[in-house]
Amino acid sequence: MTSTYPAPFILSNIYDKIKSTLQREEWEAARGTAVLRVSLFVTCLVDACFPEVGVSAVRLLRRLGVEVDFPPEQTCCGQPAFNAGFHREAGAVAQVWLESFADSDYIVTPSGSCAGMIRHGYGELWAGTSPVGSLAKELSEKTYELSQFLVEILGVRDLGARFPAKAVYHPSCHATRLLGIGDAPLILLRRVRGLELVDLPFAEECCGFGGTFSVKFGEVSGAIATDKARNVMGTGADVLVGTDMGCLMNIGGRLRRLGSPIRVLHLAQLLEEGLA
Amino acid sequence: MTPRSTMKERASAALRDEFLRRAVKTTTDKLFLGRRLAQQSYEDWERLRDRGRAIRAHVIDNLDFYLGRLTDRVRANGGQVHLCREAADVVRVVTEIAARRGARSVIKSKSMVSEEVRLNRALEEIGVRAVETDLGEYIVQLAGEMPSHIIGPAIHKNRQQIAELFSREAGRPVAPDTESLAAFARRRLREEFLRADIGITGCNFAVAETGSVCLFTNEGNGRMVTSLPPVHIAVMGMERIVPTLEDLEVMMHLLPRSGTGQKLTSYVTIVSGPRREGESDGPEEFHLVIVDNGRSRLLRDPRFREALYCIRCGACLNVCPVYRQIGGHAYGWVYPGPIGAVITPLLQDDLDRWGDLPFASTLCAACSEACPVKIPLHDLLVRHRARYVAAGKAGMAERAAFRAFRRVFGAAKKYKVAVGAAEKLLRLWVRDGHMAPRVPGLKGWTDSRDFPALARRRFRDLWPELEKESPGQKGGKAHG
Amino acid sequence: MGEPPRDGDQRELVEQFIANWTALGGEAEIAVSARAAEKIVAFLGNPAGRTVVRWNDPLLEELALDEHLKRLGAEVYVWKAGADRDRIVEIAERADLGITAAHFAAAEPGTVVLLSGGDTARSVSLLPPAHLAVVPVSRLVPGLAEVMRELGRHRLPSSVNLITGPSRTADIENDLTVGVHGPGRVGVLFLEDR
Repeated sequence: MTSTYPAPFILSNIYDKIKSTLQREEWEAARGTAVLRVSLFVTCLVDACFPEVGVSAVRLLRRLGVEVDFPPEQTCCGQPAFNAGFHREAGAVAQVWLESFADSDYIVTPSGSCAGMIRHGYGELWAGTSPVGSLAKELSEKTYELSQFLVEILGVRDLGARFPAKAVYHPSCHATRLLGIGDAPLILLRRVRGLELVDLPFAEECCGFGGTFSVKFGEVSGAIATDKARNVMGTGADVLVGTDMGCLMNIGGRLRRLGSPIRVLHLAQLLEEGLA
Repeated sequence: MTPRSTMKERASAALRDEFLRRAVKTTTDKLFLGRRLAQQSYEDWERLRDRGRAIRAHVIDNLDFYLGRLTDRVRANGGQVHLCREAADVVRVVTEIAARRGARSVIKSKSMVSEEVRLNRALEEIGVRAVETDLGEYIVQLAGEMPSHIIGPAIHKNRQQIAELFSREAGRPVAPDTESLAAFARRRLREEFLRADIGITGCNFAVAETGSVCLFTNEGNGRMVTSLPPVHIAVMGMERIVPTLEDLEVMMHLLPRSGTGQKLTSYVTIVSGPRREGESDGPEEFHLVIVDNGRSRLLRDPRFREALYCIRCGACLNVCPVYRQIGGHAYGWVYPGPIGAVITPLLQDDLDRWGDLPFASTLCAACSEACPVKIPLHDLLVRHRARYVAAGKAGMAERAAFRAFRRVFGAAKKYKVAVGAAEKLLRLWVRDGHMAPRVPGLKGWTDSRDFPALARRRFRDLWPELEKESPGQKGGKAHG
Repeated sequence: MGEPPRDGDQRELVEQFIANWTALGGEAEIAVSARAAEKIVAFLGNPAGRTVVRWNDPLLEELALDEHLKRLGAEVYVWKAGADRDRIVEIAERADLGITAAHFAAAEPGTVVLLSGGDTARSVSLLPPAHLAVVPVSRLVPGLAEVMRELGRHRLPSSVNLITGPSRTADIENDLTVGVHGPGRVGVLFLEDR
């Protein structure tokens, strides 16, 4: 069995973890194809603004022996339009997403919010009984946020990374509440050598981003972001880490405006940098 | 409160009120922590939530049956039942009772429904004085305002402001310390309790099986209002029913823990009709006024029906990042916060005036997580937005933007071209890796935050190189 | 009330009740019936010139409370069925203490349950600034589930009141104040021989 699994990084107990996490057939199938094949959904925001996050995610997955592909037809999950109430437009874009990932074994994305849209929002867009709805349901069950995939599916806890810094973690609302990734990012962060994790007061409170809300209700959004930025600054941390570039762009944008030198990093970046 | 202002204007005004913001935050923090502790005091909170939800769902799905049963049992207890479709019907029923009894003064314990139908104003118009007796409600009544929180109506007022209101009422100075203020209210309202002709209460839950109205209070005013005046009128939203006393017990665990963070409020009063043979306190007449006032619109619409499960605990307000910044008045009507944004546009049936409320949310889902009966409030907010857009109410610029979104993001090729062109165009505004403030369309963001520049090379442009980075991986051979 | 609980369980319930009740700012005592009157006097403070109003309840009769209080200079009014409403309300309104005999009490969350009736008027536990509920230990049940079950056995009276601690409010700047409209002082006296 071990001979079929390529990565040296993976400890033997991961197999048990994988077995318990996956459905039996899935496990059989995964073992049959020898390598876990993951399609990266990079998200439009990371694609256009933060491509380095996507690069880190790919490198990280590969280090763990996962084969990564990038379906080239992907654009966006449709969430911006969905949350704004433009459901026809959201449906059209989401349909492109479904077509792009129709053949994927696993879909992994460096965003809890986009994964949440697929897992939760698609169910709101389409009833599970329509053909497109059943495809959406099937794909949504294969879709994971990056840290969730590492912890739940690969069973990784310690990547062997080293990152000497004092850091705070912002749990993104959609990752924790819609997707339910739980403590997956913290499980990974707690085992990074040299990293001192400090508690963020009111960590579970939203950063105030909220998509178009951040522009429509810019003042309120900015006020919420200010509270979040002040809470981050109050910890004396030098790094802010999270799983969603939407939130990090918002908090980071406020931090920068306030003149704070705190580095803002996606979890994938921190881990990958810590392994380099 | 400007009657025709927008949610955005009201929110901006609230943001400029520093005292309000501090007060709202202190209160909601306290209630939030209290709720968390109180929930820990119950062994299996999640199961309790499920039970609560199941009870509420069952009642809402069988509402006509339970309304019928409740009506029968209240009548069997010697009470009178009035079914009111609209606000005007409630006003008519109550003012007729007041006129028949020759009433001059009415004492009230907290009733959100009576705020909905503006009962106090209607009573004043026929010369009946209506006095709110919940301390917070009394304060906002003296100030001529609306409650700003479902369970803490006056959290936006400080001691000094309250002392000024009370001094004006007393005709002499009342000291601005809590003891003196509470003592004044106690004395003043005691006189009102003793001489009132009618007591009006809300109804936290009506128990169908026993024909009872149940009130959760802390101050004791609910007991006064249901014990001293010769007439008691309970005004309830038509959805506020539980089938049995056993179901009421579930609500006794859920409501105070979620609302005030108490295991139980100081008083739970279960009223079943007028006083009986031999009793010398308690009302001679008991009236139950069951109010629709737009609720059947929610009941008929499967997208929003779950909002009727609400038990009015206020937990969704305390965790809402938007509410915590702007407080309750910005929501413009009786019900603030996420639940207010969900039910106001439907109860008022006016998209032009109230359709912007569901947009005042980050959709963080903290509300859904806090809700003791698991109403997916963030989903309901999104469904509202879709309804608003489908009704053609979205602005022209936004409609155009999302048409463009559909075109551009509807095909990878177009997306590539469009984002590439946008990046080149926006370079004009890029300073130090970020957009300069005043980029068209981004003002709401850039007023308080920097916005990152688009990357010169997109991830998809980097992919061909990245794909080559570890050629050994394909075909399943080990690498690294 | 179903199977009578074993003594040890009942003692635990009493302790649990007292812990909850005192945490809310209430006062609690345990006594045998013969010593109950003394305990009540102690709760009232100096009885001379004070007014006490109480339920017309056989349990309170047996405690020989009135004689005791009157001897020490207090006035005692017994609110009986059919009493003149205005007069008796006026007395309750100026009374220093109201005394009731709870129909049930729940150890969790620390609640006494009073059922209204001609001889068990609502105002006695409401209008005076202090309220004392006498509770035979046998009427103490574990929680609200048992209370609701008991209530469900008979037709409900016109008013049932579950009382959990003193009257309170936090409506002024979140500052907790007791005794707003209802009693600010609340006591429970458990009778351990009943």
